[in-house]
Amino acid sequence: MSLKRAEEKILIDQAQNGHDSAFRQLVEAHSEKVIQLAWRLVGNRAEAEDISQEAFLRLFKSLSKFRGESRISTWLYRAVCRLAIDHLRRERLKRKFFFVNSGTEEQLDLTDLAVDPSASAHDQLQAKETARHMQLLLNTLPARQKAVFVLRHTEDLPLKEIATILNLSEGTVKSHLHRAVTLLRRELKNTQESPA
Amino acid sequence: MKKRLSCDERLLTLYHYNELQPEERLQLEEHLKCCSQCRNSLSQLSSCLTDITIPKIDISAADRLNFTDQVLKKTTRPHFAGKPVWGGALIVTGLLMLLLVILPNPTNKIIKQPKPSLSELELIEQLELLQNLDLLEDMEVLKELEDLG
Repeated sequence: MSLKRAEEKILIDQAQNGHDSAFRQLVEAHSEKVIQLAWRLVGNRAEAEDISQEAFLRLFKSLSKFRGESRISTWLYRAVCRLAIDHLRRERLKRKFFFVNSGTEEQLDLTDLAVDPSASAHDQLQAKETARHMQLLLNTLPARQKAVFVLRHTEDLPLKEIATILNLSEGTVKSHLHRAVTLLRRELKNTQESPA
Repeated sequence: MKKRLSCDERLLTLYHYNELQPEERLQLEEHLKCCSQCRNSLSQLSSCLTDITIPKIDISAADRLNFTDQVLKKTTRPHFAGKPVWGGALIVTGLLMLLLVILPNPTNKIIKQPKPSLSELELIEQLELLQNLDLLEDMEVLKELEDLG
């Protein structure tokens, strides 16, 4: 369910005037993309849903100040990215202080992974294995680089918009993207070279 | 364009994502025509990035509905819900006690007595005289008793 800009503006006006049904429609329209983005960043469904809920609650509280200069999706992506980056940094610190191993593998939650239902059991298993591998690769990236890479590579957002979302300069975003790509290529090469 | 300037992996990354300015893009394409090393790098980079497909989770219509309900439930909840009610009462009590300490204590004030009027003074004097008379009478009674033995 996607909303056109004009429809979205009407719903925002209505929500600002206290119409719960309008806010409901906004949540319904954006929830899937917001949860997917949060999951790609944190790799855990429960945490992704918590982060997404918090993003929508922040939107609700800021509705009166929302002037419609940017799209709701941009606003939500910004909130999700900030919350996810904070979450990832906290997790990294926790692991550092409590001497827990990298933990990335244990934290991966791929139970709800979307796989082609028409594919054979073998193919589904392989798809899940590839997904697990990709998430592990992504988890090697620092939080901000991960956010830039996911937003550019998966969400297909232009770097200019990513800069707005992450409140960074375009030059910094370009550097983060390049570093993320270099790191991922190196990790991919290492895993391909290392014996199974 | 000089080869040294253009042999830049960062530019290749941005080229792959179509994030170069039109002028930069043209310059890089010119450079690629004459630099096999960069052509190879770009080909490897593109094939690697094409292989990277970030997975997604399955979110059903029921999941979306449930999620929306949860969000709306939280938006309708009053701000103080979830916090212990006695917390507010404690704060109010504390503030009241602080006010009592800060404000001047009325019991510590010296109560100014109104000045007695002349008639009242006279009455007091008369009362004192009466008391003295009583004492004198008592003395006389005592003397009489002594005299009686």
